[in-house]
Parts: sequence; C-alpha cells; structure tokens
Amino acid sequence: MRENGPRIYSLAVRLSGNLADGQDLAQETFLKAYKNWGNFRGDADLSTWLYRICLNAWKNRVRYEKRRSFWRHFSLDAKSEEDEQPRELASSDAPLDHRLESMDRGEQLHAALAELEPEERAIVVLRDMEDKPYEEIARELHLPLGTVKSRLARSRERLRLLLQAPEKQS
Amino acid sequence: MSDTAHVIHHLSEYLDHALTAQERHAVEKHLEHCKECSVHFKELQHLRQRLKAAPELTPPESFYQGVLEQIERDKKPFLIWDWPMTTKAIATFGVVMVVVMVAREARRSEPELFAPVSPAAAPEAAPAAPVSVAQPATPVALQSKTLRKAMGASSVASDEKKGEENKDVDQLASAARARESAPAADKALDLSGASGAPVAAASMNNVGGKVALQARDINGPATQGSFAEGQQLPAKKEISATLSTAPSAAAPAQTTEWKGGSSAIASFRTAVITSDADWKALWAQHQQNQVPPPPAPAVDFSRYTAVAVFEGSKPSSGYAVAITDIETGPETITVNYREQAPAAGTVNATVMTQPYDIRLIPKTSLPVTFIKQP
Repeated sequence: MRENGPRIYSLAVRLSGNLADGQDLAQETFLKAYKNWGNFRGDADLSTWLYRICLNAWKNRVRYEKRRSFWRHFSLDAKSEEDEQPRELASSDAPLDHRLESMDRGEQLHAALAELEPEERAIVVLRDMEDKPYEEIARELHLPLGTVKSRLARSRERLRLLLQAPEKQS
Repeated sequence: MSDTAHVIHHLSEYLDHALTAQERHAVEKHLEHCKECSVHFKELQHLRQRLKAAPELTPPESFYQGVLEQIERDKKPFLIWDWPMTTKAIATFGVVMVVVMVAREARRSEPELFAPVSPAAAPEAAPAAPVSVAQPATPVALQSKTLRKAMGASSVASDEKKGEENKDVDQLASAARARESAPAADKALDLSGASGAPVAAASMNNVGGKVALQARDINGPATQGSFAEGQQLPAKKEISATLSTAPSAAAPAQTTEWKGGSSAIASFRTAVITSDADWKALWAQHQQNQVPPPPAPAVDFSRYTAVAVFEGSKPSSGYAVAITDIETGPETITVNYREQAPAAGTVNATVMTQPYDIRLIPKTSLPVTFIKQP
C-alpha cells in the first residue's frame, strides 16, 4: 500500500478535484483491492490494477452523483463555445483568479483542475498526467474519440486561461 | 486548413501528435509566421509540461491509518446496524410485508379451517351426545329392565302412574351415576334425570348387540346440552344415548361438525344424508377442487344423519354460515341456520368463498326442514 499510496492518492485527488473526496476515493480503492485480492492475477502490474480499481470507483461515484442531479454545472455544457470561454472566466472565475495568486504552483494546478467538469477533468488527468492515449481514455470513459479530442482541447484552453494570470505575475 | 486561418483549435491535437501528416504540416507552416498561434501553442506546451511534471501527492499518515482501521472494521462481523440505509429500509419493508401477508393469509384461511366440534375437544362447553360408552354388562341389563318397566308404564297414561315413572327415571339416572366409566353419557343421563321431566314413553331398540335408548319427554320443558354448541333447546327434545354393551374402551370420538369457507359446491344448497353412499357422493362434490380429493370422514349412518347447508359462492372473505340449533318435533326436524355477511367497514380479502356447515344429528327418518334465521 505504501509503495502505491502516493500514485493512487494523487490520481484520486486529481480525479475528484478536491482533497477530501480524493482521500475518500483512494481509501475506497485500497479497501476494494484488499477485498478483491483474490482476483488479482500476479501477471498484471499491481500499480495498473490499482489504477483501474480507482478509475472504476471514481466512475461509480460520478454516475451516482449524476443520478442525484449533483452535477450542477451540467447546463454549462449546453452553451455554445464562444459563449463559454472568455466571458465565463471573466465573471464566475474572477474570485478564483485572486485565490490562485496566493497559492503555490501545485495548489494552483489543483484549484484550476477543480474548476473543470468531472469528465473533462478526468480526460486532462488521464492524458496529461497519466499519459494515456486517446483511445484508452475514450474506452474507459465510454466516450467517442472525437468527443475526447474536443473536450481535451476545450479543457486545456480553460486551464491555460486560468493559470495564465498567476503565471504572468510570478 | 488555409495558411492564413488561425490553427488554435488544432493545437491540442498537434501537441499530442494526433494530426495526420498533412494537417501537421499545415499547422507547422502556420505557426512559423503567426505569432499569436505560436504563443498560444507555447502556452499549451507549457501547461502540458506543468501537468505532466506535477509532483505526486504524499498521503498523510492518517490516510494509511484510516485504510487499516477500515480493513480491521470490515473483518468484524457485519451487523445489521452496519448496513447501509437503503438496505435497512429494504429489510424493514420486507419484514413488514411478510407480517402483513402472514396476517392476511391467517385471516383468509380462518373460515377454511375445519371446526370439528367433538366431545374430546370441548367436554365442558359441549357435553355432546350421542356418545359411545363402554358399559359393563350388568348395568345394561339393569337398565333394560328399568326401561321395560318404563315401557309398560307408558301404556297407562295416568297421573297416578307418573310418580312411578319418575321413580323409574330416577332409578335409571342413579344407575347411570353408579357407573364407573363413561362420564359423558352420565352427564346426558343426569340431565334428563335432573330435569325431573316425566317420561311418558321410552322405546328400546336392540340393534346388533347395541342398545339404543330413546327417551321422549312429552310434558314439561326440559333442557339438554345440544350436540355441538351446548345451547339450550326448547321443549320436545329427543335425548339419545347409544350405549355399547361391549366392555371395551370408548370408541374414537366422532367428529360431529364440519364448517368452513371453501367448498366446491358453488350454489346454495341444503342436504340431508342418511346413507354412506350419499355421504360419499356429497363429500366428493364438496371437495372436488382438491387434488386428490380427500376421502369422506367416516360416519356411522346407523347412528347418525347428516344435515348440511352450503351457502354457495360469495365474493369475499367474511361470509359464514352456521347451524344454530336443531329442533326436534314429533313429526319434523327443524334445522335453524344463520348466514353471516362481512361487517360494514371491515377489510376482506377479495377471494371467492363458499361457506358451509355440515353437522351430524342422531339418526332420524323424520322430514328435515331448514329455516334461515335473521
């Protein structure tokens, strides 16, 4: 557990978008791994096995949240793209800009990731942090390849804008 | 992709080397001279590097402790209060449903249960006669003698003789009391004696070694426990006690009533059965819904006549029929019965029911009339 702890913990926190949920997800991952230890085939990489458990647990949580209509920002997806980008950042993310200024770089990154929708965040985390190919991301998240590409581009653009201001200051 | 148009929307894929060779070439060409797109691309590149290089988070020690504690907790037996809320709710609902169904089933099948009223079942409330009784030979001989006296006396119907007849009845009663066994028969006989009713006629039949005693009360009102429910019968009652001369143990108690809510006879009907063949035919009809149909209960039709009321099909539970009393007159026997409908405001299972009541009465050849009580 201690060997894979940091990796799974980081993945869980990044996927969840906040520390509390991430810690919970990581804990759930290790508990599931403990309970299903009999299913682990020695030929597979333990780290990969844990990564898959964590991702599946996260997907279950998102599905659960969706069902309970907790996905409050869902309506934003429906807006047109030009409507979405600069104006939105100028208005709703203005307070975040201020908060980001006072954070260190690692915290800034997490705070910016937290601003994304769960699925968009997952795409960025899997692609840019876990270095997974598009195809695998599409398969894992049950999304068409084109959607993965477009959402990744959009999410990167949001992160770029979010992190631009504190970057320039520093 | 024209050379002049910005390529911002392709930069993400360009970054991931996911463009076709042609697209990549066009983007590269554009980036060479477009500063805006070039800066944009550099920023994206920087972002990706930043994300990629983000250091792994170090879980606090409390995190590991939490996992270990959780594992320890999971090792303990999983108790009901550890169940998730939804499981608890489902389990509670299940238990409630089972209780409700059991209660409904019990309520529905209540009238279906046979209510055999036999002497053995209720010796206190229903001192049932006729009762088979083991008799020592001597008391029977004594009794026969007494009866013969009574028979002789009956031919002279005068007031003076009545005192003697009473004496005979008293003798009969005391003889019965003196018997060691057969308390039920004693009861029946005691009742006749205690009522003090003058016996004007007594007939004796000797059938197949069995002595059947019939004492007919003509004058005064007398009370006698009924066969099944011990209710009071009005005047002109027939008291019958069949006494076995064999000194063996008492014969198995005869069930004298069958009552319930489920019969295959679906329309109103009354029946008087005096033979075994008719009894079997009626019972087969009554139980034809059951596979295999249970055999008709054994009834000795040399001693009994069966009277039956079938109510026919009723739309729900809560209906019942009960033979309330049987009046025996000199020329006819009247079977009084009462129908019961579900009380207003009660909840009844919407199942078809066919209430019935079948009862044995002492063997009779008199015509039987059924009268419905209000």
